[in-house]
Amino acid sequence: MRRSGWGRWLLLAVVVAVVAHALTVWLLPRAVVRVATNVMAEREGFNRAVFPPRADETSRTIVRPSPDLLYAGCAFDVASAPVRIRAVVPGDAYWSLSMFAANTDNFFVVNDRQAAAGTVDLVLVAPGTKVALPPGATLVEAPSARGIVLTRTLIAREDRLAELDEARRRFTCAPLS
Amino acid sequence: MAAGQRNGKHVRRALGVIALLVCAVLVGVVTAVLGVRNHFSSGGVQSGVWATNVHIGSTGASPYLRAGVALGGLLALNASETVYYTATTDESGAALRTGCEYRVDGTEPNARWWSITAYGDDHFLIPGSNGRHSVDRAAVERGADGSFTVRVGGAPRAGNWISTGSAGASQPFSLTLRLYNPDASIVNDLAGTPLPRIVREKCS
Repeated sequence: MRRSGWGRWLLLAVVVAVVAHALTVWLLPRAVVRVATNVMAEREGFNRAVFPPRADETSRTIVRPSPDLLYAGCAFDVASAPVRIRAVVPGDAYWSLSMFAANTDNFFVVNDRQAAAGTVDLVLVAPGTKVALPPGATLVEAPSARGIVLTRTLIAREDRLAELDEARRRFTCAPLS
Repeated sequence: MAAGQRNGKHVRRALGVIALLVCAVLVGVVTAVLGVRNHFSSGGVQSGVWATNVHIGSTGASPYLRAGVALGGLLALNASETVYYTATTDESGAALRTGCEYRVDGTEPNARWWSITAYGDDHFLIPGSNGRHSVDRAAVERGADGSFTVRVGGAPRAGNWISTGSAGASQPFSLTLRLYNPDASIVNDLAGTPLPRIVREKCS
């Protein structure tokens, strides 16, 4: 049976709507992470640590920031070289270092209880990359070339703010030399 | 039929097809954005008025949840590290609004550290809150039995109080309960975890 002229176009419109829907759902997280990564990299460039001020009502870059935490971050890019990430864990306060892929996935996290040595030393690489690890460093494979590293330090008491901020600022993120 | 009339018919038909396909793209995009606006919509669970999803931040997240996280919870940790519950309504089912005052009654969650934070409809901290955006485990004042009551909204007050901004137009807002290093009993039973009740007291 021959389909009418407009019937064919309506069928095509349904297919186009479904494809547009699926593409939007797939692209949305990648676009948002890309914007967030680029905004973070605007300050210092890729593979450089940034130390944003404590979150308040003027913080409008990343949604739902916690005012009870100090953040340190780094927009990473492992496409051309591995990136070394080091941090000092403050004593007796919640702390974590987490890594996020280009699709929002939290692909790595370590907290203060797991980092019993008091420091964290990581080498972040693209999948399958062979690298000579510095002594004591741990290898982490990133599922995407670009993404975000974030540390969270709980401000357990306001009178410890300066001490915790000093520990936060010992976070480093740089190409592996 | 004259050649001019035939050409006119073809042009009208082509324009109609283009308009139809543009509409199709718009329908696809709009339904996608509406579908992911609630990032708990895909496999989420509810405990009272609090909603969460065990797949937030996880590599097993669905495409819809990833898109929802991007819009309303970017850089969220996975559930083994932190569980995020969000409430947008009170116990009666009415949307939380900045023009109302609420009482949040709870007991100590079984987690290493927790906080309750208010966010505006745009997912950012609410302007005009004078630093009173949240109450946390360290600062909350508890009763003798360990329970607590946090007031949300209304005039500034001492103690357990979260601001929803200065007086003005009543806007929707939400509360996020963060549970850092939650006990396994929470992660394994997100829907069954007892969480604070949110009761509306009055609206201006």
